[in-house]
Amino acid sequence: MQFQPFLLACALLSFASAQASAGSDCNSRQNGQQIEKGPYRLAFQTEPSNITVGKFFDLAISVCTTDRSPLPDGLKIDAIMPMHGHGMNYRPSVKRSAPGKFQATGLMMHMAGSWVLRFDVRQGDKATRLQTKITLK
Amino acid sequence: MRRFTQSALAGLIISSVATPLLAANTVTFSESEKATITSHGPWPPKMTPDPSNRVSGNKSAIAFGRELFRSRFLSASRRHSCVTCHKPNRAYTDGLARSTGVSMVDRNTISLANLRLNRWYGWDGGSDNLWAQSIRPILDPREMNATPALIAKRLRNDAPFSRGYQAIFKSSPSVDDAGQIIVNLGKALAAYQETIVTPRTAFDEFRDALAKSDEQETSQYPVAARRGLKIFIGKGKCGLCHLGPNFTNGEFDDAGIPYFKASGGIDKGRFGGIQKLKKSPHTLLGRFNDNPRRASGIATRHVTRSHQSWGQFRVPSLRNVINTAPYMHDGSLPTLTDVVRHYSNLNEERLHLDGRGLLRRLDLTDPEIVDLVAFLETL
Ligand code: HEC
Ligand code: HEC
Repeated sequence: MQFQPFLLACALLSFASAQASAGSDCNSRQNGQQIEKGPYRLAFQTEPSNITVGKFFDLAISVCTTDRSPLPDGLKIDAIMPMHGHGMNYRPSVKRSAPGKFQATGLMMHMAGSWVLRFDVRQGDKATRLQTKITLK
Repeated sequence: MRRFTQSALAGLIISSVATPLLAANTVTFSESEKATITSHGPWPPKMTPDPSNRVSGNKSAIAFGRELFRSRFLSASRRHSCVTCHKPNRAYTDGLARSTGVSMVDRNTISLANLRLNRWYGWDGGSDNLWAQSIRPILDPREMNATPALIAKRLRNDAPFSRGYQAIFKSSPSVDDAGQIIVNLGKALAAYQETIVTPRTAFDEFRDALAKSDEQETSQYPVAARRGLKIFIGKGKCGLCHLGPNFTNGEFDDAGIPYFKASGGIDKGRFGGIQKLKKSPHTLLGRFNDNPRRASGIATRHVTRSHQSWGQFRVPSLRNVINTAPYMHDGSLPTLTDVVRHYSNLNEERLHLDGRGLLRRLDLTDPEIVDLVAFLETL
């Protein structure tokens, strides 16, 4: 009886990584960006395709793993302006739509300049931060 | 317009005395500066009806709202109206540092114009829509000091207003409850206020001519204003917050103005604004939004307050700013020259922005101050 949950977890796990290696679009770069860290490769695309100062945008995110590690079960997103010591005035909400796929809404960068977009990928109780620089004119 | 020409001329004379090397026609802009200048237009931008207000853009509602705006019907004592503080012949403000209704309020009256472009209303953004912001002064004990019940009772007993209400909202004030009535009146007031749009200005003519590379037309723009514009988009970094056609990012910041109230205590600014918003039944996420999908509610859904929201105030539009003195949330700066001097001599210690603030003391020279003011006067 004790084995069952474990087996189930394994089954899910291999299903997930099979899906990731079968070319989910975490490998695609069309209009988007790709970041790698640890076992993770993350690709994201903004909607609309250009970020405008003071306008809301959404993100479509895919995460896959480059080894056999499990896909993340959670993702938190934030953006900061390191030079000015402030973040966004809005807290985006993130929904998982499929294994390794997330949809974020409610992001807004209210000033031109250098921003850092942060993705905190969570798997169990382990968090990994992937980040990328965005410069807004 | 007279005032504008005179002070621009004054600017020109002073600066040409102080900086004789800057010949009048040497102000040119790089391609990247041109792009920045162009981003402050076109004007007027397209303004669409407010989806949260079913009578937005409705002609009868606009006329009814206009009448309500001028009527003392909405104040408990029947002594005040919106016009007490938002005077149409003074750019819909009152010229006072802090305005006075029943008693003095803590903040400067905001000029009412181009309101469809706002994301937030009030210095602290305590409302996310115009109809809610229009109800606030009616119920504020310091402003008009009424209650929804009092206004409902008055409306039911006033035949002409009652008929107007019924024609627009297709429902009788004797059937609607007081909570619904006050919201509907707010929506008519909003429909009217949305029609107040500032006209095209000397800056807009210049911006459009620049976009078309029309040298003849660009040369009409005063040279002092051009030099001021260069500071505004350049070393002044004003465009960091005052951006786009309405010269604001629509958000909140700390421009180094003290946030002590005249009445004592501290004005929490944006921090308090978010608190008010979360408690209000009149937001875009509530039942009075006429758009079932709550389409325009994204900012309200995601807004978050942090310690930085303390003492932040809305970045005001700079459109028509020559006519809206005195300045800042507390009306503490009487003229545009005072505002520019404030930015120039900014006390960086006072900014509570972790010492990495956006604003830096600019140390402008006197002629530069005159130029920057000359520019602001053309908006
Ligand atoms: C006692 C003076 C006073 C009266 C009367 C008054 N207002 Fe105001 N109004 C103000 C002040 C002060 C502010 C700024 C409030 C703040 O930020 O807390 C303001 C702000 C506003 C704003 C926000 C504009 C913006 O860009 O955010 C609107 C809209 C407005 N008032 C509409 C009205 C309407 C409609 C009425 C009549 C029902 C009215 N006001 C009556 C003083 C007044
Ligand atoms: C960091 C963002 C920021 C920058 C940069 C900035 N401002 Fe402001 N500005 C504000 C805020 C916020 C207020 C309102 C402050 C308050 O009331 O406490 C304001 C107020 C003003 C006002 C008063 C308008 C009114 O209706 O009361 C003027 C004029 C102005 N700024 C011009 C400028 C100029 C010129 C520059 C460049 C030298 C500049 N600002 C740079 C944020 C900024």
